[in-house]
Amino acid sequence: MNHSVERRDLLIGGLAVGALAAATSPVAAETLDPHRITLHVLDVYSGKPGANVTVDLSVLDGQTYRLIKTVSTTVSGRPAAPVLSGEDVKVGEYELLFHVADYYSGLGVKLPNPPFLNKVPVRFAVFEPAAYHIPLLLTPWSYSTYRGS
Amino acid sequence: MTTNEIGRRDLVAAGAALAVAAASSAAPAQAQAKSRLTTHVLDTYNGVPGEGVTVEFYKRDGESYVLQKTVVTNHDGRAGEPLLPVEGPASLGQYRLVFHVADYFRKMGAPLPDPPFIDRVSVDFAIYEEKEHYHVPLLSSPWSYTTYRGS
Repeated sequence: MNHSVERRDLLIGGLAVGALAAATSPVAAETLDPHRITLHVLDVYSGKPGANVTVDLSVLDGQTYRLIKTVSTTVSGRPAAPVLSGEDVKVGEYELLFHVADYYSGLGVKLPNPPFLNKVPVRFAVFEPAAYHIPLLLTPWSYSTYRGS
Repeated sequence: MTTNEIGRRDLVAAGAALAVAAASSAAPAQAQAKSRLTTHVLDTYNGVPGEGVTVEFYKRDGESYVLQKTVVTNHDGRAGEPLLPVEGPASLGQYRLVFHVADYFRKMGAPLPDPPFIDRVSVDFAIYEEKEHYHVPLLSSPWSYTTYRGS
Protein backbone atom coordinates (compact mmCIF):
# COMPACT_ATOMS: atom_id res chain seq x y z
CA MET A 1 0.00 0.00 0.00
CA ASN A 2 2.64 2.46 1.07
CA HIS A 3 4.72 1.58 -1.90
CA SER A 4 1.88 2.03 -4.36
CA VAL A 5 1.03 5.44 -2.87
CA GLU A 6 4.65 6.49 -3.13
CA ARG A 7 4.84 5.33 -6.70
CA ARG A 8 1.71 7.28 -7.51
CA ASP A 9 3.11 10.39 -5.85
CA LEU A 10 6.31 10.02 -7.77
CA LEU A 11 4.41 9.59 -10.96
CA ILE A 12 2.34 12.72 -10.31
CA GLY A 13 5.46 14.61 -9.30
CA GLY A 14 7.14 13.45 -12.47
CA LEU A 15 4.22 14.60 -14.56
CA ALA A 16 4.25 18.01 -12.90
CA VAL A 17 7.97 18.39 -13.46
CA GLY A 18 7.52 17.20 -17.01
CA ALA A 19 4.80 19.75 -17.65
CA LEU A 20 6.90 22.52 -16.17
CA ALA A 21 9.89 21.53 -18.24
CA ALA A 22 7.87 21.28 -21.42
CA ALA A 23 6.37 24.71 -20.89
CA THR A 24 9.35 26.68 -19.74
CA SER A 25 12.64 24.95 -20.35
CA PRO A 26 14.43 25.72 -23.62
CA VAL A 27 16.03 22.27 -23.46
CA ALA A 28 12.68 20.52 -23.38
CA ALA A 29 11.33 22.98 -25.95
CA GLU A 30 13.79 21.58 -28.47
CA THR A 31 11.89 18.34 -28.37
CA LEU A 32 8.68 20.18 -29.21
CA ASP A 33 8.00 21.21 -32.76
CA PRO A 34 8.15 25.03 -33.05
CA HIS A 35 4.86 24.85 -34.93
CA ARG A 36 2.20 23.65 -32.54
CA ILE A 37 -1.14 24.24 -30.89
CA THR A 38 -1.17 23.60 -27.15
CA LEU A 39 -3.69 24.33 -24.44
CA HIS A 40 -3.91 24.52 -20.67
CA VAL A 41 -6.99 24.49 -18.45
CA LEU A 42 -6.68 26.30 -15.12
CA ASP A 43 -9.60 25.78 -12.80
CA VAL A 44 -9.47 29.04 -10.83
CA TYR A 45 -12.66 28.01 -9.03
CA SER A 46 -10.90 25.06 -7.41
CA GLY A 47 -7.41 26.55 -7.48
CA LYS A 48 -5.82 23.71 -9.45
CA PRO A 49 -5.21 22.56 -13.02
CA GLY A 50 -8.30 21.31 -14.81
CA ALA A 51 -7.67 17.57 -15.20
CA ASN A 52 -9.66 15.23 -17.42
CA VAL A 53 -11.27 18.05 -19.37
CA THR A 54 -12.48 16.92 -22.78
CA VAL A 55 -11.55 19.32 -25.58
CA ASP A 56 -12.61 19.09 -29.23
CA LEU A 57 -10.39 20.65 -31.89
CA SER A 58 -12.13 21.65 -35.11
CA VAL A 59 -11.11 23.62 -38.18
CA LEU A 60 -13.31 25.97 -40.16
CA ASP A 61 -14.08 24.25 -43.45
CA GLY A 62 -16.25 26.55 -45.54
CA GLN A 63 -19.05 27.65 -43.24
CA THR A 64 -18.82 24.85 -40.68
CA TYR A 65 -16.30 23.62 -38.14
CA ARG A 66 -15.03 20.14 -38.92
CA LEU A 67 -13.85 18.02 -35.98
CA ILE A 68 -10.18 17.08 -36.21
CA LYS A 69 -9.70 15.34 -32.90
CA THR A 70 -10.82 15.10 -29.29
CA VAL A 71 -8.25 15.26 -26.51
CA SER A 72 -8.31 15.18 -22.73
CA THR A 73 -6.20 17.10 -20.23
CA THR A 74 -3.92 15.30 -17.80
CA VAL A 75 -3.43 16.06 -14.11
CA SER A 76 -1.35 19.08 -15.17
CA GLY A 77 -4.33 20.60 -17.03
CA ARG A 78 -2.61 20.00 -20.36
CA PRO A 79 -3.04 17.22 -22.88
CA ALA A 80 -0.12 14.78 -22.89
CA ALA A 81 1.02 16.05 -26.31
CA PRO A 82 0.44 19.16 -28.43
CA VAL A 83 -3.05 19.16 -29.92
CA LEU A 84 -1.49 19.79 -33.32
CA SER A 85 2.14 19.78 -34.28
CA GLY A 86 4.46 20.34 -37.23
CA GLU A 87 2.99 20.36 -40.71
CA ASP A 88 -0.51 19.88 -39.30
CA VAL A 89 -0.42 23.46 -38.00
CA LYS A 90 -1.83 25.07 -41.11
CA VAL A 91 -3.02 28.64 -41.53
CA GLY A 92 -6.74 28.66 -40.89
CA GLU A 93 -9.46 29.21 -38.37
CA TYR A 94 -9.77 26.77 -35.50
CA GLU A 95 -12.08 26.09 -32.60
CA LEU A 96 -11.25 24.51 -29.25
CA LEU A 97 -14.44 23.37 -27.53
CA PHE A 98 -13.93 22.82 -23.80
CA HIS A 99 -16.46 20.55 -22.07
CA VAL A 100 -16.79 22.70 -18.99
CA ALA A 101 -20.06 21.52 -17.42
CA ASP A 102 -19.03 17.86 -17.68
CA TYR A 103 -15.81 18.75 -15.89
CA TYR A 104 -17.46 20.57 -12.99
CA SER A 105 -20.21 17.96 -12.69
CA GLY A 106 -17.46 15.36 -12.39
CA LEU A 107 -15.95 17.35 -9.52
CA GLY A 108 -19.30 17.40 -7.76
CA VAL A 109 -19.90 21.12 -8.25
CA LYS A 110 -23.61 21.92 -8.15
CA LEU A 111 -24.62 23.56 -11.44
CA PRO A 112 -27.96 24.97 -12.60
CA ASN A 113 -29.92 23.06 -15.19
CA PRO A 114 -29.08 23.82 -17.90
CA PRO A 115 -25.62 24.95 -16.72
CA PHE A 116 -24.73 28.59 -17.40
CA LEU A 117 -21.61 27.46 -19.25
CA ASN A 118 -21.74 24.06 -20.91
CA LYS A 119 -19.22 23.79 -23.73
CA VAL A 120 -16.97 26.83 -24.14
CA PRO A 121 -15.85 27.54 -27.70
CA VAL A 122 -12.58 29.40 -28.24
CA ARG A 123 -12.15 30.39 -31.85
CA PHE A 124 -8.81 31.63 -33.08
CA ALA A 125 -6.74 31.81 -36.23
CA VAL A 126 -3.38 30.33 -37.04
CA PHE A 127 -2.13 33.23 -39.15
CA GLU A 128 1.40 31.91 -39.66
CA PRO A 129 3.21 28.71 -38.70
CA ALA A 130 4.20 29.24 -35.06
CA ALA A 131 3.47 28.09 -31.52
CA TYR A 132 -0.06 28.87 -30.38
CA HIS A 133 -0.72 28.30 -26.70
CA ILE A 134 -4.36 28.70 -25.68
CA PRO A 135 -4.98 28.74 -21.93
CA LEU A 136 -8.45 28.74 -20.44
CA LEU A 137 -8.87 30.22 -16.96
CA LEU A 138 -12.14 28.81 -15.84
CA THR A 139 -14.96 28.83 -13.29
CA PRO A 140 -18.56 27.61 -13.71
CA TRP A 141 -19.51 31.28 -14.28
CA SER A 142 -16.65 32.80 -16.23
CA TYR A 143 -13.60 32.25 -18.35
CA SER A 144 -10.60 34.01 -19.81
CA THR A 145 -8.47 33.07 -22.74
CA TYR A 146 -5.51 34.62 -24.52
CA ARG A 147 -2.57 33.88 -26.74
CA GLY A 148 -0.10 32.48 -24.24
CA SER A 149 3.42 31.19 -24.59
CA MET B 1 -29.08 70.92 -32.96
CA THR B 2 -26.10 68.74 -32.24
CA THR B 3 -26.16 69.71 -28.60
CA ASN B 4 -29.83 68.81 -28.32
CA GLU B 5 -29.25 65.48 -29.97
CA ILE B 6 -26.42 64.67 -27.63
CA GLY B 7 -28.54 65.78 -24.68
CA ARG B 8 -31.35 63.48 -25.70
CA ARG B 9 -28.99 60.61 -26.24
CA ASP B 10 -27.47 61.09 -22.80
CA LEU B 11 -30.93 61.10 -21.25
CA VAL B 12 -31.86 57.94 -23.08
CA ALA B 13 -28.60 56.34 -21.97
CA ALA B 14 -29.21 57.44 -18.40
CA GLY B 15 -32.68 55.95 -18.56
CA ALA B 16 -31.31 52.69 -19.87
CA ALA B 17 -28.70 52.61 -17.10
CA LEU B 18 -31.40 53.15 -14.50
CA ALA B 19 -33.50 50.41 -16.02
CA VAL B 20 -30.54 48.04 -15.82
CA ALA B 21 -29.97 48.99 -12.19
CA ALA B 22 -33.65 48.40 -11.43
CA ALA B 23 -33.66 45.05 -13.18
CA SER B 24 -30.75 43.76 -11.10
CA SER B 25 -31.85 45.21 -7.77
CA ALA B 26 -33.37 42.99 -5.12
CA ALA B 27 -36.60 44.99 -5.13
CA PRO B 28 -37.86 45.48 -8.69
CA ALA B 29 -39.80 48.67 -9.32
CA GLN B 30 -42.80 46.73 -10.52
CA ALA B 31 -44.59 43.75 -9.06
CA GLN B 32 -43.97 41.75 -12.21
CA ALA B 33 -40.38 40.52 -12.31
CA LYS B 34 -38.26 41.95 -15.07
CA SER B 35 -36.21 39.48 -17.00
CA ARG B 36 -33.69 40.58 -19.54
CA LEU B 37 -30.29 40.03 -20.97
CA THR B 38 -27.70 42.77 -21.28
CA THR B 39 -24.15 42.89 -22.52
CA HIS B 40 -21.22 45.30 -22.25
CA VAL B 41 -18.04 45.43 -24.29
CA LEU B 42 -14.92 46.75 -22.57
CA ASP B 43 -11.94 47.38 -24.81
CA THR B 44 -9.08 46.52 -22.45
CA TYR B 45 -6.53 47.16 -25.22
CA ASN B 46 -7.36 50.88 -25.40
CA GLY B 47 -8.93 51.25 -21.97
CA VAL B 48 -12.29 52.46 -23.26
CA PRO B 49 -15.79 51.05 -23.68
CA GLY B 50 -16.09 49.18 -26.96
CA GLU B 51 -18.25 51.49 -29.09
CA GLY B 52 -19.64 50.39 -32.42
CA VAL B 53 -19.12 46.66 -31.87
CA THR B 54 -21.55 44.52 -33.83
CA VAL B 55 -23.10 41.83 -31.63
CA GLU B 56 -25.26 39.02 -32.95
CA PHE B 57 -27.71 37.34 -30.60
CA TYR B 58 -28.79 33.75 -31.24
CA LYS B 59 -31.05 31.22 -29.58
CA ARG B 60 -30.38 27.53 -29.89
CA ASP B 61 -33.00 25.46 -31.65
CA GLY B 62 -32.09 21.79 -31.78
CA GLU B 63 -28.60 21.53 -33.19
CA SER B 64 -28.43 25.03 -34.68
CA TYR B 65 -28.46 28.58 -33.43
CA VAL B 66 -31.10 30.93 -34.87
CA LEU B 67 -30.32 34.66 -35.17
CA GLN B 68 -32.68 36.71 -33.00
CA LYS B 69 -31.26 40.17 -33.57
CA THR B 70 -28.11 42.10 -34.37
CA VAL B 71 -27.18 45.15 -32.31
CA VAL B 72 -24.32 47.66 -32.28
CA THR B 73 -22.87 48.84 -28.97
CA ASN B 74 -23.27 52.51 -28.08
CA HIS B 75 -20.67 54.98 -26.78
CA ASP B 76 -20.88 53.26 -23.39
CA GLY B 77 -20.13 49.84 -24.89
CA ARG B 78 -23.65 48.59 -24.26
CA ALA B 79 -26.40 47.48 -26.59
CA GLY B 80 -28.83 50.35 -27.01
CA GLU B 81 -31.81 48.01 -26.84
CA PRO B 82 -32.58 45.01 -24.66
CA LEU B 83 -31.70 41.71 -26.26
CA LEU B 84 -34.64 40.01 -24.58
CA PRO B 85 -38.02 41.59 -23.76
CA VAL B 86 -37.87 43.71 -20.60
CA GLU B 87 -41.25 42.50 -19.34
CA GLY B 88 -42.29 38.97 -18.62
CA PRO B 89 -40.31 35.81 -18.01
CA ALA B 90 -37.18 35.10 -20.02
CA SER B 91 -37.35 32.21 -22.40
CA LEU B 92 -35.19 29.46 -20.91
CA GLY B 93 -32.66 27.86 -23.18
CA GLN B 94 -29.24 28.12 -24.68
CA TYR B 95 -28.08 31.35 -26.23
CA ARG B 96 -25.08 32.70 -28.08
CA LEU B 97 -23.60 36.17 -28.39
CA VAL B 98 -21.18 36.71 -31.26
CA PHE B 99 -18.97 39.78 -30.90
CA HIS B 100 -17.33 41.15 -34.06
CA VAL B 101 -14.05 41.87 -32.35
CA ALA B 102 -11.61 42.05 -35.27
CA ASP B 103 -13.83 44.48 -37.21
CA TYR B 104 -13.83 46.70 -34.15
CA PHE B 105 -10.08 46.66 -33.50
CA ARG B 106 -9.34 47.16 -37.19
CA LYS B 107 -11.53 50.26 -37.08
CA MET B 108 -9.62 51.42 -34.00
CA GLY B 109 -6.35 51.12 -35.93
CA ALA B 110 -4.92 48.22 -33.93
CA PRO B 111 -2.38 46.18 -35.92
CA LEU B 112 -3.88 42.74 -36.57
CA PRO B 113 -2.45 39.72 -38.36
CA ASP B 114 -4.26 38.33 -41.38
CA PRO B 115 -6.35 36.39 -40.55
CA PRO B 116 -6.76 38.04 -37.13
CA PHE B 117 -5.99 35.83 -34.12
CA ILE B 118 -9.45 36.56 -32.77
CA ASP B 119 -12.11 37.45 -35.32
CA ARG B 120 -15.57 36.85 -33.88
CA VAL B 121 -15.92 35.78 -30.26
CA SER B 122 -18.71 33.32 -29.62
CA VAL B 123 -20.00 33.24 -26.03
CA ASP B 124 -22.40 30.34 -25.47
CA PHE B 125 -24.44 30.34 -22.26
CA ALA B 126 -27.76 29.22 -20.83
CA ILE B 127 -30.62 31.15 -19.31
CA TYR B 128 -31.81 28.73 -16.65
CA GLU B 129 -34.01 30.89 -14.42
CA GLU B 130 -36.74 32.97 -16.02
CA LYS B 131 -36.99 35.59 -13.27
CA GLU B 132 -33.31 36.51 -13.13
CA HIS B 133 -31.33 39.17 -14.92
CA TYR B 134 -28.45 38.05 -17.10
CA HIS B 135 -25.55 40.36 -17.80
CA VAL B 136 -22.84 38.96 -20.06
CA PRO B 137 -19.88 41.34 -20.48
CA LEU B 138 -16.90 40.89 -22.76
CA LEU B 139 -13.47 42.22 -21.77
CA SER B 140 -11.65 42.21 -25.05
CA SER B 141 -8.28 42.81 -26.69
CA PRO B 142 -6.96 41.57 -30.06
CA TRP B 143 -5.23 38.68 -28.21
CA SER B 144 -7.49 37.84 -25.31
CA TYR B 145 -10.93 38.02 -23.84
CA THR B 146 -12.80 37.40 -20.63
CA THR B 147 -16.48 36.85 -20.02
CA TYR B 148 -18.55 36.07 -16.96
CA ARG B 149 -22.02 36.22 -15.52
CA GLY B 150 -22.18 39.83 -14.38
CA SER B 151 -24.87 41.87 -12.67
